[in-house]
Amino acid sequence: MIKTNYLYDSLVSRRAMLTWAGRSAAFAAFLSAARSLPAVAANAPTLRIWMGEDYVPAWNAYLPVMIKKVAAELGVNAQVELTPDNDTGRARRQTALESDTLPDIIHGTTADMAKYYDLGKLHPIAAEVFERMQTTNGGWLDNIKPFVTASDGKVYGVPFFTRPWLVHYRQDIFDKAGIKTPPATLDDFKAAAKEVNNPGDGLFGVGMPYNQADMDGHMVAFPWLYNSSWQDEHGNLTVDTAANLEALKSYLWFFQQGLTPQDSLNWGGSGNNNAYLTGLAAIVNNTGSLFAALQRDRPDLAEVTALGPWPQALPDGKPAATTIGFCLNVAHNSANAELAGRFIERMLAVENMGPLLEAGSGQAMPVRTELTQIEYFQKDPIVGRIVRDVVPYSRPLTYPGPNNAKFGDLVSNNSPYFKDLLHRVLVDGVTPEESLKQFAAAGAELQKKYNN
Amino acid sequence: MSNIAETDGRTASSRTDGRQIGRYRSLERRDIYTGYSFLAPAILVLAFVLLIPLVQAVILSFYNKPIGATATFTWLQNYSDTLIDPSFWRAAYNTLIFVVFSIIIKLILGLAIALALNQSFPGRGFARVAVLIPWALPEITACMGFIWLLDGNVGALNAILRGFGLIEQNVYFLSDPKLAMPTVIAVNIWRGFPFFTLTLMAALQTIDKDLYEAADLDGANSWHKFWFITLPSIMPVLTVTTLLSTIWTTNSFTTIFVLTGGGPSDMTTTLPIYTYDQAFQGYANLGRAAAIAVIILPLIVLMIAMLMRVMRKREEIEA
Repeated sequence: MIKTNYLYDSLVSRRAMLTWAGRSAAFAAFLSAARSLPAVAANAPTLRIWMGEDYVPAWNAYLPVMIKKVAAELGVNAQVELTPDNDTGRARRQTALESDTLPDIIHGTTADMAKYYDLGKLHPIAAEVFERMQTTNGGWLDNIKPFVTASDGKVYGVPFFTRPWLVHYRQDIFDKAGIKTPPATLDDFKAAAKEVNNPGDGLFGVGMPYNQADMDGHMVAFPWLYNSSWQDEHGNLTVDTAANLEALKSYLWFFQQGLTPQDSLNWGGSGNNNAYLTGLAAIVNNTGSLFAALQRDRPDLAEVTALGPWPQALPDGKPAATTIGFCLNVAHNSANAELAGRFIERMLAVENMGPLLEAGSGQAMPVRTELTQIEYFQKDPIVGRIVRDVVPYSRPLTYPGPNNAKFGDLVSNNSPYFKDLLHRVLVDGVTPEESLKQFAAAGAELQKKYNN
Repeated sequence: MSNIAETDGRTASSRTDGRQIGRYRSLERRDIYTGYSFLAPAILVLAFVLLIPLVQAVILSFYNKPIGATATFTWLQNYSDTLIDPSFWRAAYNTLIFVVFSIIIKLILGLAIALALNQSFPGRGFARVAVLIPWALPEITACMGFIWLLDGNVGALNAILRGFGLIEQNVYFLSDPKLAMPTVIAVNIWRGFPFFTLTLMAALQTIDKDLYEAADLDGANSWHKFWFITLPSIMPVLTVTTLLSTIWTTNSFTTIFVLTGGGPSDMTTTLPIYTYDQAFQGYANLGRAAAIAVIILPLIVLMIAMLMRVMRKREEIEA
């Protein structure tokens, strides 16, 4: 077992909270100033832009303003809409995909965009923008290109930001139990969770999800911890292997030992967040959504929370951190594709993207070298350390293979296949071996369908 | 002469009759055309919103059609895939359990409450309004409320049961494989019984009170009065209400989707949830979802036909 020793101090101190409040006030001033932008000519070209709504209100407030600012700079009319990251938003995007009415600029996860690319719905301009930006202001972070590279080796999107998964520890509980954190290995992690587990008093050792949501941050990473993965570097599925079986059994162990609430069988995307925010679970793994919610809603809990990646590094010695990649794209039938490409480029400029990342309060991480240098990441001790120690090493969910629609269907967030893999064992009493075989069969079926 | 005159008269009269018949026929034809022209907008709307989508769904069911991709004709592949899929049969079984238990209990509860609310007692007006609240609430709002109420860890119901000392360990209503289905049935009953109460209460008020007085004179007890007067009198309404509720419950989606999403491990996956999953989850194949809808269609059509028959019979009796 390879050890890592990443752990970040408590999320916020009282001083940090004051800083956070001050930042909110600064944003309010920025927003009011941005409202007085010069008007764009009525006959100027119009870009329809769909951006994802986020968990952080400041992000949602700033994003449309930033887009309008870019539009004013480029003399473009921007029709910007925020679409929620839930079934409603998904249905809307699927409808647009089916009716071929995608907006000029669309924002989504790299997995979603891989599917759009596979369907031929994306404009090749994204690759040009990626290349142009590679040579300006330090370019992209070294680990970013695989996020937006398809099976054919072509770049299909412009990276926007990443959202690493981070393990959240209740430092106060572990200190009280005399357990040294961070756990150095997965075995130590399990032992720590078991030690503090006390359901009778309403505390579970860990809040692992077993349902459709959040599987990407959990079941994708677990095989990595066993030096394995669900696909190889060429994009071939490698599901039914001894190492993956070991990883599956390891994940099931938490539930079989009663270390996680039974409700996790039905948890939605915020299930483990809620478990942590209500003090039900001593450890959970989630993205910046929890990080941001703690700062906003539970500063008391934030003060006793420490963060880190999974407690075991990969063979290259770097942390096993999964990251959801988000990218920007141009629809294949956009009448203003060139303009849309330039628009995306401007959106990513440090003077526009910097304040947006700051508004995100840690739920969104930079993808460009220059953005890692902004004052926010230099000054904020916690977020700054994540940017330095995790972001450059975080891996796409498709690691070590390329992005492709078939793999996205199998393992992405909301994949029903992971849910079935776990529920077959936990609810139906099927053996892990048999469940893994059925999971492999589902993967093979997907592969066949995509090949057809 | 007279004969001739009579003959002429008959001839003239039959000519007149013929003209009249012709005029009637023409009028009838015109009436028919007028009728159709009045019906045309409704027929057009129905064709656009029902017939065309139905035909399209049937056609789509023969294609492999992922969202956004080109459709490929696959003959009966979607049908055979569905019919050999154990998840489909599990969903069909779950639907049967969900519908049968929901309807029976809704019927009994709705009827019992309607009978109670048909009696005179102080606060009857308030009770009649209160009983309708579950039905009047938006389904999604009610279900979100139930999520918080039934949460296995922090739900109010667990706190209450613990408070009264009725349980020692929390009950996982929505994630225990044995409890998930009874729980979604209970929520469906809570939402649906007021519809039975409302319609049956209206039917009860139309029963002639003289029948009960006559029964009293004959020495009938309460059970006799219910069995021989009340039940036969409300039977047509009861049948229509039951059929309507059966159709709605069979197609019910929101309650299960919000409460359990069909889980845990498909324990609460009914046919509408299964269809949704095939259409929008994982390898989203609209053709497969359309095939499932076509497979379910005869069942729904049968129920609607039964409903129409009952309603027509009722109209005949009333006429």
